[in-house]
Amino acid sequence: MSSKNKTILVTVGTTQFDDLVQCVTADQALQSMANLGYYRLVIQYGKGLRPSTISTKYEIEMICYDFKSSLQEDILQADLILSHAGAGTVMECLTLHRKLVAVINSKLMHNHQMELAVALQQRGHLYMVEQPQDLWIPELWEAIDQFDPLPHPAGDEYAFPRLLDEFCGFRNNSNSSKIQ
Amino acid sequence: MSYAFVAGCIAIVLFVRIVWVFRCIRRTKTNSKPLKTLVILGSGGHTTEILQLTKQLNRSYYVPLEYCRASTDTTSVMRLPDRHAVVHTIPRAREVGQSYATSLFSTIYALWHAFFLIAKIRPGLILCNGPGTVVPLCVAALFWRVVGWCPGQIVFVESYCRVQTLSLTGKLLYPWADLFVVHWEELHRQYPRSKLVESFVRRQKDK
Repeated sequence: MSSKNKTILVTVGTTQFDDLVQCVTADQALQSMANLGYYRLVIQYGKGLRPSTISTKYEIEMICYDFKSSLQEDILQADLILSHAGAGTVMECLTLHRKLVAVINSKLMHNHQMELAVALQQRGHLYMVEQPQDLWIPELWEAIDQFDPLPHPAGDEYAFPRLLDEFCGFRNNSNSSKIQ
Repeated sequence: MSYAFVAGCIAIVLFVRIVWVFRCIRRTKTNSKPLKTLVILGSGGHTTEILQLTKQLNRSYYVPLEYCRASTDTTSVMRLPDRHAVVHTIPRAREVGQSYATSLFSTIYALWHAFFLIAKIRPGLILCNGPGTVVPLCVAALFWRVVGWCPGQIVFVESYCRVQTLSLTGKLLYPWADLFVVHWEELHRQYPRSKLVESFVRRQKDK
């Protein structure tokens, strides 16, 4: 058993994902977390239900809140992030080089979130879980523990502005008519 | 002079305008003056993405820069880089998970609002990536553009989470957005008129 000093962050973004929250607070998942040395479980539950108290048997401390204006600090402090596969959270976690497990919400209408999770999993940037109930499988946690993500390349913040300037014609005539 | 004649004239003028606008849509623009820009905040992930995309925009070209949010979205405003930015509010067209039948009524209501809002703002450029909220605004912009009230050029950026298929909004806007941007090569191959931007993603071969 590894030392108990690791933190898990569970985040659902601006919507709700009660299935995920329920699954991670169930004993089956807590057992696996405890085995892998996690002692703190931070849950951002969004518009969903506030999770009820968890079993004290596993000596895991649970911290819950619905929203924060920025999750960055919590993401940086977490050793593992379990998240819905929303683009915002995924992007933030990958740019901060965190180990991310994207859990698919199969109840959503037209579940496109899976596309992103699949594409990023194929490229080795995250670990994908197809449904929250899978988090009760101890072997899955072993796999997550052993998963070593490939760092996501840094994005180019100027790529879109460049394209837009070019499209609007600002780049072309910037010499002839200076815009102040 | 009969009403039929007047109606006929209006129809011809409108038809010519529509043809003209659609000819312009696909061309690279030659703007020389700063463009009044309206950034539409989707909510949640959409807002994160559009703020990321517009973070490094040259503020001397895209000025004034105003925002628009859905009435149900309370978190987006807190995340704006500029606290004093003008933020307009519109009713939301479709909640995540809302059925298409009830969506119809809320869409008509949203469209009604959008017409007045766009007429009031008169944007030169509309930047959007968002969910249903943006469609009424873009329709309104197209209408006012045909009428000649404002330039209302539409730039749509498909969400980063779309790898294989376009969103419903994307499918609706693809034929007539001035600039249509996608993040993934997989999508770009399917929609050749789109532009590929690698703000967040690099090509797979660079891995």
